[in-house]
Amino acid sequence: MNTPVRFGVSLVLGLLAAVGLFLLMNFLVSRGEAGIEAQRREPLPQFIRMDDQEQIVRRREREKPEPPEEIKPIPRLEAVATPKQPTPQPPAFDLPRFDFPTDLALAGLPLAAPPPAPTGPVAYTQSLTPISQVPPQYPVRARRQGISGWVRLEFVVNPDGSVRDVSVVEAEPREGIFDQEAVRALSRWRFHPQMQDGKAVPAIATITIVFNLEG
Amino acid sequence: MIEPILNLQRFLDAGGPVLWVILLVAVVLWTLIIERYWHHWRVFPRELSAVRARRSRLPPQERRIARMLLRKDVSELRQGLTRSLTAIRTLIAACPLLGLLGTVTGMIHVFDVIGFSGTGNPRAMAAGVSMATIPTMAGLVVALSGFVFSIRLQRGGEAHAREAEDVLKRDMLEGERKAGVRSQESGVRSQESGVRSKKHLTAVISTVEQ
Repeated sequence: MNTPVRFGVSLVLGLLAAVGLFLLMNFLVSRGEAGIEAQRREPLPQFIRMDDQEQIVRRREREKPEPPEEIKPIPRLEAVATPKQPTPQPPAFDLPRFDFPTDLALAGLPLAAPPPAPTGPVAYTQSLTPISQVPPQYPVRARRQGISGWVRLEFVVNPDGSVRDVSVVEAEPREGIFDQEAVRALSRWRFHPQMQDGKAVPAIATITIVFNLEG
Repeated sequence: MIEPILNLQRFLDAGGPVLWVILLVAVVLWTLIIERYWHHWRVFPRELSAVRARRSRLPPQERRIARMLLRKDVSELRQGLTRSLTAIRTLIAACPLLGLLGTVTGMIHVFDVIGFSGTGNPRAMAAGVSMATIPTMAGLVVALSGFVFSIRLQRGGEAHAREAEDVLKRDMLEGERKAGVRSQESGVRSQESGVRSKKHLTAVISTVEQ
């Protein structure tokens, strides 16, 4: 037999051998798969016992706490002008007159002019409306603790409208939480100066600054 | 008959393109191996008897030339016996490497899938994993199956060539003795080799008579 026939027959046989090898490999691979399929078809064992008496879940009732009382907002206090104080009347004294000679040796000396009366601040009579107003900032600590309150301040309005000598008269609460901030803010306010006889004079006024948490 | 073919089709699809190359290599490899066995069993005895017949027809020659002709004939026979063994071994060595190639391409496929849909989809990755593993197995199986036969073919080829050499030498010495030319030391050697190849010699004669 010549060579081409030999190779042709060998090729056919070789093809068969190779296909046989691959079929063998496929068998090797797919046998596990069949096992998996068989396992999948088996019913799964049940681990959870279902024949137990069903236990009724009792729900524990608990009294609800009463809702907290609503916080009543502190009524905002209006800034009111202090009423004009009555001018003090000199008390009437009934003193015996001293009678002594006035012609002293020094009578000829010229008398010193009486010193001008000290112009103390008069009471502020106009309505307390600031011309310019620096809003007070709510202190961080008070805002965190939810404290609201108010501060009553006494101060002097200068003739140029600025504010000096601010002092705390009364405050609620008394810890002084709002005092510093109220004083700081008020010191930068400006008012109309108190007019007396066509002249601006210093005047004492009182104001209440309310710190109120909104919402 | 249909089901194995379908199974094979599925197997090749799962293995990816490299598996086709391995299948091709397996076909070529097994073609060569079967051709070799055919050559050893059927072609080689015929060639040997043909060579013997040709040599017996030749007139007795000078001894040196006769030995050289003997060596040439043996060499030709040996060449015929070990012809495509190098190719067979090359293909066997290439098979595991092809399997490795399939692994690498399959893993790249897997990483593509991971990059596209994340690691949360093992079903999508399974195709790439089978593409990575099946060619590896196929390469190893083909190489292993070919390896055994290639070793046997190599050894068998060497043995056949040696036997052919012995037979031819014995024939030559017989012819020389008939022609009255005798050399002592070569006679001793031919007896040794004659003992070794007696069994094969009878086989050769029987095939010739057929």
